[in-house]
Amino acid sequence: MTAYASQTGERRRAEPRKLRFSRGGRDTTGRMLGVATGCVLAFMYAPIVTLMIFSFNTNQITKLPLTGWTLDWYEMAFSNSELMAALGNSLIVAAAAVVICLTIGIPTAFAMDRYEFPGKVVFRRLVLLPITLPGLITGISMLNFFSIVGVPLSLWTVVVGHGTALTAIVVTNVYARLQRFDRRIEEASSDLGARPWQTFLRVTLPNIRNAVIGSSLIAFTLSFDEIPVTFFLTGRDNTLPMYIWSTIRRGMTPEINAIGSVIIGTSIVLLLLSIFIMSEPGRGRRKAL
Amino acid sequence: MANIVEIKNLTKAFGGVRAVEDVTLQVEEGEFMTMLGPSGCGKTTTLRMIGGFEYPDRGRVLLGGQDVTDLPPYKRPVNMMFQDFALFPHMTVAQNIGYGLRIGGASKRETAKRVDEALRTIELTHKAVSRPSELSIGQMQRVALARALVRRPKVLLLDEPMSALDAQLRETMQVELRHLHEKIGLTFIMVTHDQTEALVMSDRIMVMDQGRVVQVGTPTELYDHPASPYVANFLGTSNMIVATVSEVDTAGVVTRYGPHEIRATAQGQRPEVGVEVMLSIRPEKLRLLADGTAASDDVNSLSGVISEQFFHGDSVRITLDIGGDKPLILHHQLTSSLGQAALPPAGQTVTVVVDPSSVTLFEEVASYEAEYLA
Repeated sequence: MTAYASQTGERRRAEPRKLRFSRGGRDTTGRMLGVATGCVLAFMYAPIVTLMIFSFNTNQITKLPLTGWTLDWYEMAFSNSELMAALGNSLIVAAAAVVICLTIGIPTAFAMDRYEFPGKVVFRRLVLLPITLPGLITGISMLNFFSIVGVPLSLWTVVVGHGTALTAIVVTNVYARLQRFDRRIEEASSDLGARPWQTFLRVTLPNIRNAVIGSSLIAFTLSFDEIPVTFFLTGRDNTLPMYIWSTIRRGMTPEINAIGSVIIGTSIVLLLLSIFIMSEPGRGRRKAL
Repeated sequence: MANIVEIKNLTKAFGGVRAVEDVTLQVEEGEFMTMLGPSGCGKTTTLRMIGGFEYPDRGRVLLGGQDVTDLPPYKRPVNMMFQDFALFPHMTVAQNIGYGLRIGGASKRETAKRVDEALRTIELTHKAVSRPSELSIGQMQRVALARALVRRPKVLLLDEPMSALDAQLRETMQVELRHLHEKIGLTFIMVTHDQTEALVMSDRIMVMDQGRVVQVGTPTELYDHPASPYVANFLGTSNMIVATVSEVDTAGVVTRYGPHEIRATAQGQRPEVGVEVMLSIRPEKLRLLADGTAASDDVNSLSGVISEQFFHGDSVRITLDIGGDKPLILHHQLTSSLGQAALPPAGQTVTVVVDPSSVTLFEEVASYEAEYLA
């Protein structure tokens, strides 16, 4: 009797009741789902799509109706030396910030995962704190600090600012990965004759690669469009978001739409690339779990 | 033969808790040595100290006469097959096997050749470019074995090699591993908590308990002449009964258990008359006496009432109440064509006999009762 009861209980659990829609006796659940999905996607992506459409529109002013198709704005954007300089600065800053995040973040994550030391909990909180601090606070405090110490503001002070704020992203991701990491494969590597650095390069790093690449991409993106910290810490150089922000005060131009579209395009390519890179070694692991 | 592995007075504590205490052992070249004990008895820690993964607090580890205590794992001429295998998930089967060779400086061609050989031996050539996660458990185990052996170590360490396998595969692999050991003549040191596995596979077994060595010997020595109640109970099953010494003579010790006298050969043991001792009698050493036959004088003959019978297919387990504190359990092999039908039914009084040499006597009663029966 108990066996029967548990059997029926299991069946009930295996088939949870779903919300169903019907109209005139026909099941319209599929269509309703489609509509809902469309609404959500529209809510999220309509503004971006609009921006991309207007970047190809001939009218100087961003308003309907569409007047014609052109690539002029792209040409203008790419020949605008100030815009290009800002774009270049943003790329340099983001890349340098990622380097800082990785050089500090990876060893930090390892230390937190593998060593016990006094004040470890406090240390962990302190490392993760900057990401929750408003950029405004980070910006002002670093501005004060740099002026007291006597460091002139430049792109490099921006890099330092971004680095401190974003290191936590690398630390959290790599640390989370290390917590799930099977350390016996490192022992196996050592057992098979590999020195510690060989084990790190050939066994440890390939297995935490996803976390490293993933967090680098996030850090890069966040740095790339960061305004508050940059606002306080930059010298005469402008980054792209700062440049866009300052031009927009004089009115939205299709040129901005064009550079925005380029960035969106690049982001999508990067995203696809990262999925491609990360899925290859992950293929097996997912099955194993 | 020379001792390939020698460990001397190894001691290791983790956070104040003694995991391994004063363990000394010599393993001969080509021997299959098993460290057996329940989880937490220190067997794995001992193995890991031989592999170099733990550093002993005290004691030395010698491999082939050379002191390797201070050497890291990558400088020791031993290889380990890990529990759950620890295959590299990001490498193919071939890369896993070839890893140790490439690290050791073998050329690509040499590595490829030896990996091919290894793959053929374990019959996984068709899986060379698969990832470990695409393998069955049995295949993973073969890869782990090949990876550990491809570097031709002096000693192969095996940490619970069968624990991931199901019962059927486990039996097959026990035999296969034993064959492999005979074929390549390498020294194997295995850790297991499974007594059957230890008995089936090993040349010698070291039984451990709470960080200490309890007994070292061949499987038959341990089974027939356990040094303590702990070993008797851990290796196989045994009737463990507390009896009182009533007489000590040249032929052994006579004890009283309930209404019965049980004689034990008890070589070298001279307990005082009147003290309590522990007797261990293996269930298969008790023989059911056929109706109407009289027991000969030189064996113990015990009569009692059959209280339960459990059919095991090829044998019957009988619980026999002989009037002591605990009933005796005996395994009766079903050999006649009548099978179970030939057995007396429950409730009937029967006589069982057991040879005095099959009765093991232990003078330590109290400690056993306290530690293992509580």
